[in-house]
Amino acid sequence: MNDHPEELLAGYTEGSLGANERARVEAHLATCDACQEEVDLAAEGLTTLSSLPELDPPKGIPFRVRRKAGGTPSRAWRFAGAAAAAAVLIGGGVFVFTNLDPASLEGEGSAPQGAEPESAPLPRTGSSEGGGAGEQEAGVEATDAQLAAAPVLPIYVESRRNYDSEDLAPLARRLRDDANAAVRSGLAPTARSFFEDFDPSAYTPDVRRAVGCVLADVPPQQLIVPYRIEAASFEAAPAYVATFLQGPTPDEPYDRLVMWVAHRETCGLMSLASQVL
Amino acid sequence: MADPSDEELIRRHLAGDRSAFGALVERHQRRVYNLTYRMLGRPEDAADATQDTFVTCMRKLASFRGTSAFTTWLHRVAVNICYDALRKRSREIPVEEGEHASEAAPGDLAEESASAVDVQRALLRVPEEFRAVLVLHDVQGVPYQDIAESLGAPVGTVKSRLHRGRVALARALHGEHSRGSHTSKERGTS
Repeated sequence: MNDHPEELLAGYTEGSLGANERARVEAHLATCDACQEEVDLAAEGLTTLSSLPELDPPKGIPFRVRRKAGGTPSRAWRFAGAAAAAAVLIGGGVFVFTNLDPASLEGEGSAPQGAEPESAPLPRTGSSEGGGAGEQEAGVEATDAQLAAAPVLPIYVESRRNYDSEDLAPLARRLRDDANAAVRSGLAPTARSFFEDFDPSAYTPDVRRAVGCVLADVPPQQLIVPYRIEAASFEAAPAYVATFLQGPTPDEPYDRLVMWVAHRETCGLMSLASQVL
Repeated sequence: MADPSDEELIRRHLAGDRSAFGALVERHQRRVYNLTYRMLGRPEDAADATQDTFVTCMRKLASFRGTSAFTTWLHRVAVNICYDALRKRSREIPVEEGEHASEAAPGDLAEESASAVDVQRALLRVPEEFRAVLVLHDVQGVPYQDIAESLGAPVGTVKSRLHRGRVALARALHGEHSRGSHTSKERGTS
């Protein structure tokens, strides 16, 4: 049965064979009713398919891609980012990561290619006032007030502040001081002790979402304590600036503060800062 | 100024340009959606498969070497995602009549004309490996060589599947069971 020129029949049906091949097929068809029947059917199939209309894709595919890619980016990669942060911190000081994953950075506010909006100069977190920094300052003050009375974590702040990567290190240093004060004021000193007396069901929806964005990328055995959630903007995109406390192990005192910036809609990691306590 | 090439957009994406991959999605979503729709026959499944295709591509883009065109790679990813979806569907949906198992549910094809609905239903009865070649070549006009690269099959196999797929489609339209062609060297797909 191997003399049926099957590999030529598709080309024959669509008329793309050269003269020699075409003659060979026609010679075969003259003696093979089965192949002739198939060629007739194939021609019908081809005509039918070429009549199929092209459909419009549903709206929102690009957004769905961004959302899915940002919501569950490659975990190995994000762990690697956290590990790198830890490694840098052995030397002390602040290290800020940005642009960790182009995929996760695709917010709804993305500009067309080649037209990235320039970051407007922003008041530094440490500066006294200006622009949208007022809410931010108020938030930090509220932190102190709350902690002085009774540590209720995480502190939740909404602000119109538009952060960029350079704002994170100063903010991390400020929150470090706050967190150290909170521990001195009686905040449970280790992650284990914190969670012994903590009810996650008390989270507000915003806090739950922000914490969920971060915890999705943290191994479950690695306990981190939600310290402060700020719903703000980062490089003009809606973002949570979520600050956590972490020790070398859940049973050792916190030794660093980690600040995750996650897109409020996609959960995608936008930046990460870490600060030794 | 001409639109940037796919390769240029990939380079920008890998360099951190946040908008570059979105431009690739905008450019190719129609092609991928139509491919996945013709493979799966349900708009919502096709939308999911289209999304998953781009997400997979985005995550693996760093490993894309550019030895073949981006679209060739995109087709490979999309077809494999469709195969996975069809396998999953065959496990999840109670099958009463085998050849109807992958048919579109009533109403799914409402946007298409009656004849296009018939063709789509017939297409879903064509074995999926033939269907992929049919859709890529006869619906989307992809050349044999590119399909062979996408599917990792010799060009001769692509041509054979194409012929057998066309025959199977015509038979399905006539209400016959798909049975490939009498010249078949390959066995039908599982």
